[in-house]
Amino acid sequence: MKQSDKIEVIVVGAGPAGLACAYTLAKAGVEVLVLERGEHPGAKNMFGGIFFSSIMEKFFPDFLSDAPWERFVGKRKFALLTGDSEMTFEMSPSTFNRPPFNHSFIAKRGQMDQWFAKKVEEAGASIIPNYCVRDFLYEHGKVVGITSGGDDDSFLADCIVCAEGANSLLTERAGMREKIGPDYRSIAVKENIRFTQSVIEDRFGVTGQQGAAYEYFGSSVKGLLGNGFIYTNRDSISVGVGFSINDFINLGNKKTPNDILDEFKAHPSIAPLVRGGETVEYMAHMIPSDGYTRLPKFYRDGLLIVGDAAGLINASFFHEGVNLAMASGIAAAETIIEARKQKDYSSENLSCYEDKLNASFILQDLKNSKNFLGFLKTHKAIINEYPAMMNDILVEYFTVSEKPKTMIKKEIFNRVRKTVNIPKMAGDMWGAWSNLI
Amino acid sequence: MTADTLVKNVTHGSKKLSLEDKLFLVKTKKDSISHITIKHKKCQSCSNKVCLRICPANTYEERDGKIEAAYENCLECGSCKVACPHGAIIWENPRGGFGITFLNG
Ligand SMILES: Cc1cc2nc3c(=O)[nH]c(=O)nc-3n(C[C@H](O)[C@H](O)[C@H](O)COP(=O)(O)OP(=O)(O)OC[C@H]3O[C@@H](n4cnc5c(N)ncnc54)[C@H](O)[C@@H]3O)c2cc1C
Repeated sequence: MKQSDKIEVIVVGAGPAGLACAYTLAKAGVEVLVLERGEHPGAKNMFGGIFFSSIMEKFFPDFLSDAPWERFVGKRKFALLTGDSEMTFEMSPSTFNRPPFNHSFIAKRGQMDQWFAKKVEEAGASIIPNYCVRDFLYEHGKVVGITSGGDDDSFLADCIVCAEGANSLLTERAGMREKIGPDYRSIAVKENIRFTQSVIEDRFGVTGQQGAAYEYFGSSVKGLLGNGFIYTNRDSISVGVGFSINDFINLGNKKTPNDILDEFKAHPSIAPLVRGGETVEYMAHMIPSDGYTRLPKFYRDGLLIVGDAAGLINASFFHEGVNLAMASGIAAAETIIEARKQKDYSSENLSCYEDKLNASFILQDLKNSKNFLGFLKTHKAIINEYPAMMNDILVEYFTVSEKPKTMIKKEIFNRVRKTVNIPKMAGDMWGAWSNLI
Repeated sequence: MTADTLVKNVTHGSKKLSLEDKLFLVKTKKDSISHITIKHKKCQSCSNKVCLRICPANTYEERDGKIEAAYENCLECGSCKVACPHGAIIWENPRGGFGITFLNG
């Protein structure tokens, strides 16, 4: 092995976690090198998505005017789908429609990550794209560097930050977690479908830079644990579905993720929204579903794990990932800046990273939604039966007839009593309230 | 227009793309070496073969009772490795700079 120059800190992966970490380090005068396997930052990345920007705005006060966001999220919709019907809750509060736009911007990762990376370089960090890290290098159990696999291609560093994202090969290989089985990840596929700006504005009822974020729950993905989504870009929409890999396997589904996306697109409520557009790209990515109780180890001698690689994602209704990723990257950077004062990167000295995660919204929010997936897994009625029942009730109630309303109400009540166990449903609803929200 | 054709027009207005059409849209720099290795021995006891369904790019195919991976179609999500119950899929990242580049992620 060629004895490469030693760098202070190496960050593996130029996603929001790695870049936020590198930015914080560079600003503090720490020498930092970011290695990214894609041809540029963002090349391998895909999300919904809403870029939750409060941290970005603290870094870059010109975010609003300069960053390559597509539209601000002025309108949010949460829908429950049954096989062929929809029930919707929609909101467009005035506060979401004026600066700071609830710090929520629809974006494309390819562009946002590159913009962020440029800022990180301006702050003094180096970024090498086209560089895939194969493994860490160890010395007496301490992580001391990385290698791309070639004999003469390695870098040594005082400390390594692993920000490799949801396909956490290095994290697993370094023994920081148990094997990533199907219960630990969801799979998502999405299409980018192009329209003219005016079609988007008319179809989604938005104007100017305003955008819409639609999330579809209930049985939107064939009764699997997951959901569908549509986000409006400037002149295209992102349409996708994501669901638990484990659930996919257990249900012995004969369909593929692409089939499930196509069926979502063909749902009577979705089809009119995607109709007539030109699909310009098809993408896939995993989402961690480790959850609060199954998180990996966050640090060891010479190594810190951040972002999706550390399972730090709020995979509940909120779908927050990039902001937790960035906050964890910052926490790792602050830990390193402290450790650097004593020139001691032992696990003991890096342990305050976990304290920082615990003290911040990151682990507190994960803790709050720690039962989210588990609860839905054991209460599938919330995904399938209850939305269908609610739909039937509403349909019956609003169906025009010459029956007196009192009679309709009585019929509905009798039917509900026959089809569901009311005390159980009440219990499920209470459970949903305490576990899901 | 009858109610039926109205519904049809609204719900089936766009041409359905095949998976092949969709994969054709993805920007890829093909490497000459595969980043996916299959341990065929481990596949023999597998009845489920979830790899044939979980892959969003339909990378896996069974030919003469043997699972093969058309690695050049891979969208690099990694879910095949996660889903395989036998650890039969050795999935590595493609070499730096090779593989997919998403433009609208
Ligand atoms: C379909 C979908 C929808 C989502 N929607 C939202 C949303 O609306 N809002 C939200 O906040 N979050 C959303 N998320 C989650 C969000 O995308 C992630 O939480 C976030 O990107 C995590 O950031 P990260 O930096 O940890 O990882 P990533 O963004 O995945 O970055 C990891 C980087 O590391 C690089 N890399 C990996 N391995 C190596 C290696 N060995 N060598 C060199 N480089 C490497 C990758 O190429 C990549 O650039 C969504 C995710 C998905 C899949």
